[in-house]
Amino acid sequence: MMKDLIDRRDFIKTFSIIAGSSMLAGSMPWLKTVNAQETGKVVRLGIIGTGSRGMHLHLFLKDIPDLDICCICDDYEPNLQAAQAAVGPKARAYTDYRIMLEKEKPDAVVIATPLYEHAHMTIDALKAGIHVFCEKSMAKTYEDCNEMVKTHLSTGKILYIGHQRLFNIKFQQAYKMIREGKLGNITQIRAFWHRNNDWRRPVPSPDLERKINWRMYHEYSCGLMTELASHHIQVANQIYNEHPECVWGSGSINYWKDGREVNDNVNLVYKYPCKSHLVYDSLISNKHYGLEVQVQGPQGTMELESGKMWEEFPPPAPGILQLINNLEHKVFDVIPIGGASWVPDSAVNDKGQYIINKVLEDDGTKMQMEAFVADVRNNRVDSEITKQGFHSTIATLMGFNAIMNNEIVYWPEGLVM
Amino acid sequence: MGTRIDIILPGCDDESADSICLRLQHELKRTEEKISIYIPESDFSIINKLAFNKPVKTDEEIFDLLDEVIRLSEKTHGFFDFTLGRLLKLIQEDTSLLSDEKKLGDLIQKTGTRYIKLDRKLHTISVTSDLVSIDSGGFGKGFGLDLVKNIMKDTKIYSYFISFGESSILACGSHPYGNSWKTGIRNIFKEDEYICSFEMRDEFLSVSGITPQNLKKFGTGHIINPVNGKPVARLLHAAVKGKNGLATEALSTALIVAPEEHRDMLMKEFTDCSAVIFEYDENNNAKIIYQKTI
Repeated sequence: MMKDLIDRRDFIKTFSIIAGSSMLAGSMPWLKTVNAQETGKVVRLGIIGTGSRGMHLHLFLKDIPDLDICCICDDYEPNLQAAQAAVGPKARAYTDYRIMLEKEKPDAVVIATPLYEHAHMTIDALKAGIHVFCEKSMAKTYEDCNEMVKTHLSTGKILYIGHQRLFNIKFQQAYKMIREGKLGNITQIRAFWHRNNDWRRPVPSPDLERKINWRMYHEYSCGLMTELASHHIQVANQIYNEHPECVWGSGSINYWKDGREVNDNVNLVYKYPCKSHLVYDSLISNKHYGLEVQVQGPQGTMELESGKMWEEFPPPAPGILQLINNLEHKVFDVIPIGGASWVPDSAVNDKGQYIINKVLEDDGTKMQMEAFVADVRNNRVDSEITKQGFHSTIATLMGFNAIMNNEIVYWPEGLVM
Repeated sequence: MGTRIDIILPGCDDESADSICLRLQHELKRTEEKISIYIPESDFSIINKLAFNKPVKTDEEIFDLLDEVIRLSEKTHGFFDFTLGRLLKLIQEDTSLLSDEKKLGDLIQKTGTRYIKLDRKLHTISVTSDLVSIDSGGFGKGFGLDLVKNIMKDTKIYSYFISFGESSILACGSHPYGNSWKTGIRNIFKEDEYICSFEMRDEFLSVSGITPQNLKKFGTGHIINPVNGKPVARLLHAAVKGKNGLATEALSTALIVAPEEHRDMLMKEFTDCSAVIFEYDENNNAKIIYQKTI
């Protein structure tokens, strides 16, 4: 099946249809923002954390009209220099984000720093009256996440957590179809994220190991859980339309025994109040299966990363359907074959159907950054998107704790939006 | 086999039905991986790729299948010819070939089952013309249905109806409320109009034909007349009922291309088969132009 590239107009139209669906009853308010193409008022934005992720986000920010990337900040000189070259000399460079916030007073900041720094940077920015886009996961502890949410609510400032699948048209179209009952009630979600590399970055000198490879150490990161799993947990939460009630699991270091502290494989089962589960695993010693989210219901299956679906009971050919009807009604009659829809040797599509029959260039990141800037420009505060990030991070940290403490971990009381 | 399969097992409990369907699915998938020319690693793809240069060793199943379809080709006096895939591709790529009768005549001379050599002692297949390629599209479903019938013998299900894309059917035993399975060939343009019908009991039905979709898709028909090399461009259809899947497939194709005066001769070779040939006119009416029942 050939697919055409989706153009922006088609994209916006499809998003509008999804966002406007009565079935979803406005449960995805952030999609409405995607339509907003307002320009005029210049938004002044700072980037805190100019490593690989921060610069990846810059690729999308730089093309947004009337956006002035006025300042950048990083405490690692090589990254700051590279960012200065990419963003241009007009952006003022800082090594301390507090000084940058105070001096520049930008309208908004993008925070793409290591996980352990998300909370205090976000809280400081919000308290300074600055809107925040913070990369996922939200923070490293329940308490930090809760403080971030409280500050977002008390200051009335925007807080986006970077879950780009919320802006991925394929995922959101699938979500709409699921809510419309295409698969029946969802009875299981399986998700996995597999890679085959050591997940390390090159270190110029040994004293920079922990700074550069912060993902390897518990002091800064929760490893595969906060860096990869949180994306698929967010997707599962959205599909079940609730957060999990508990999780159990296990993990270990069984391959990359190189001094790292975080597990190189994790396996978890999340139980949701609807009695269905998310079965999740991640490893970095085999990439054969890649990444996928498999959503299963009595009527069908969807694979969201590849954007495909299969019906459990595809309708039989017309003649066969008539035969089945006759059998059910105890009627002996002619079985019609070769009817109007018949084509000799017609191929069946056993490779599934596409959820969206278009090639997508954007995995949601571009649209997410545009939506954030549009919200900042119009001072539109949408707590639903904060909630998605908050609940996915709490569930992610529950999974991490379940593995670390070898116990069933229940949703922490009171931590809901 | 590039088709959908519908399996009707009346009165069969869910668990047994699941188990039978899984077994059939497994067997058909295994077979497809050997005979599909769309799978580069299949036995037939390898034969098509290599057998012109050197003999290709093959297993007993593929060897016997080729032996049987060559025999059927001979039995149909060459009108069932499964070696024309490469020629059809050439024509589809350059339709001006159709107006060059000399060139087409030369090309058709380089096709045919006589160029396929089977060495039973060594179990090898050789091809002695570079234009010959095996196209399992004309017999794969018949072979699949023969396999299905064999597998079903091991089950305790005696009455069932199995359809491969509604063009190849195996109907065994009888409908629970009748003495046989009655199948009716519908007008492809007029849903409510039946052209002919067959009563089936432990029998196969194969329908071959040229549809407007075929003509639109390829610019020519997909069945080549092995005598003159020209694709059949008329909206001709042949429905054949018989006791063997492969034979009904072969005969239904042969009846599409065989000239009128050869039809009786062909039917005499297949004494356990009934056949109906019909053609659509410009008003989408179907007219039966040949019928032979046993």
